[in-house]
Amino acid sequence: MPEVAKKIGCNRVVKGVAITNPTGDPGLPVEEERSLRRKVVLQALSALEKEVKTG
Amino acid sequence: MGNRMRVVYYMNQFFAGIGGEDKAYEPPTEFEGPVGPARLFEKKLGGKGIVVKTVSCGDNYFAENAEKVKGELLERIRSASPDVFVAGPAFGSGRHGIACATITSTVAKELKIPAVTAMHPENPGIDVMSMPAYVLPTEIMATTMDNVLTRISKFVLKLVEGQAIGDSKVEGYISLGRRVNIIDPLTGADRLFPLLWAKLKAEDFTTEVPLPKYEVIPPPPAINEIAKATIALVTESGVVPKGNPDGLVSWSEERWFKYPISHLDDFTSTTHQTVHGGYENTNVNQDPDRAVPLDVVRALEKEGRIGKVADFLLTTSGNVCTTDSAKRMGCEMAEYLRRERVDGVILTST
Repeated sequence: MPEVAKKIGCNRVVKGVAITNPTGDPGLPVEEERSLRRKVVLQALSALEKEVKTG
Repeated sequence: MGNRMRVVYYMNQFFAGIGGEDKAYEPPTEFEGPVGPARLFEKKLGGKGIVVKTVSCGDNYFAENAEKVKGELLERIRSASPDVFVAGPAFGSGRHGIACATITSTVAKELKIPAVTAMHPENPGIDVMSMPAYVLPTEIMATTMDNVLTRISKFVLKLVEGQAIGDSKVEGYISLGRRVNIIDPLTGADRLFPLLWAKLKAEDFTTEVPLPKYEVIPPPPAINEIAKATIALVTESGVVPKGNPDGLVSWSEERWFKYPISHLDDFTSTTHQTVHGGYENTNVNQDPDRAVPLDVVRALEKEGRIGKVADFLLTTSGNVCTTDSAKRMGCEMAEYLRRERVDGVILTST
């Protein structure tokens, strides 16, 4: 729920897949799920590497 | 309005009796007449109103499809020609609170009828509330349901009878910044002096203009060489070693724990589990990487994309956690991570 995180003041917020599985998807075959998880994590790393301004 | 007022009432899947977290992905639905807390609410109206329809939606479905759900619920509500709308109470439940605040604010704006909900003052739903809707304060736990429904019914009757609603502290609602001009016998200067005097004496005083609660946190600088960086995994999803050795609780937790992960490439259903009570746990229990992506982060470490995965997972259960506890835990975790010379954190949340 990225809106809540941003409201509280988090600067680097990546949207997860779903509430019950932020970094996964049980509806996908294992390999595809792994790829999806990797994509979300790479977005997170990219956020860590990026300069961010408040507001 | 000589006749009894028509009420439409919203609640989540749990209060509507559809199911618990296992039914949190149910789409919007409706029932004729009152269901769940709406039954008691209707009794408290003392014959002055009837609940003609109850609408409901799964908390997760609402959270992940808010725009679509708003539109669909609005039409279901509108078609019942209500005079009044009530939602919740949501107490300390964040998703239910956000859903109630969203639909109550939408109804107030679009249907231009009195619309009231209720939740704990720290519920993230408060930030989503907008005028002219109203929100009443509650405790965190639903044990005070009877008292809350009494307060909502009295407030709703006041609104419907066209009575003037005064100051939030007097009337018992949570201020959203609604401004109403009143004539005060004292001038601003007269009111200012006692406040200043109290402040100088370090005594308690009540400000006329409360400042916003959340502090602005300056973003830390970006990581320059992530291929050399130590990245830690932190989570509020409640993932713990199988058997929950330290007894992490499912809600209102005030502690956090660190568990070694340097010997692991992956979380599995045999090594770990979750105990978080705020979401349906099946998916994460089947594969805890779905909440804390250790398998991918370990692979990226081996590929040299990041320098190192920190040796310990920091974990807590963020369900119904007060902002004070969360802030304290965050500061403690940060202090620990700084001592461990961690360069960056991936913190996962449900």
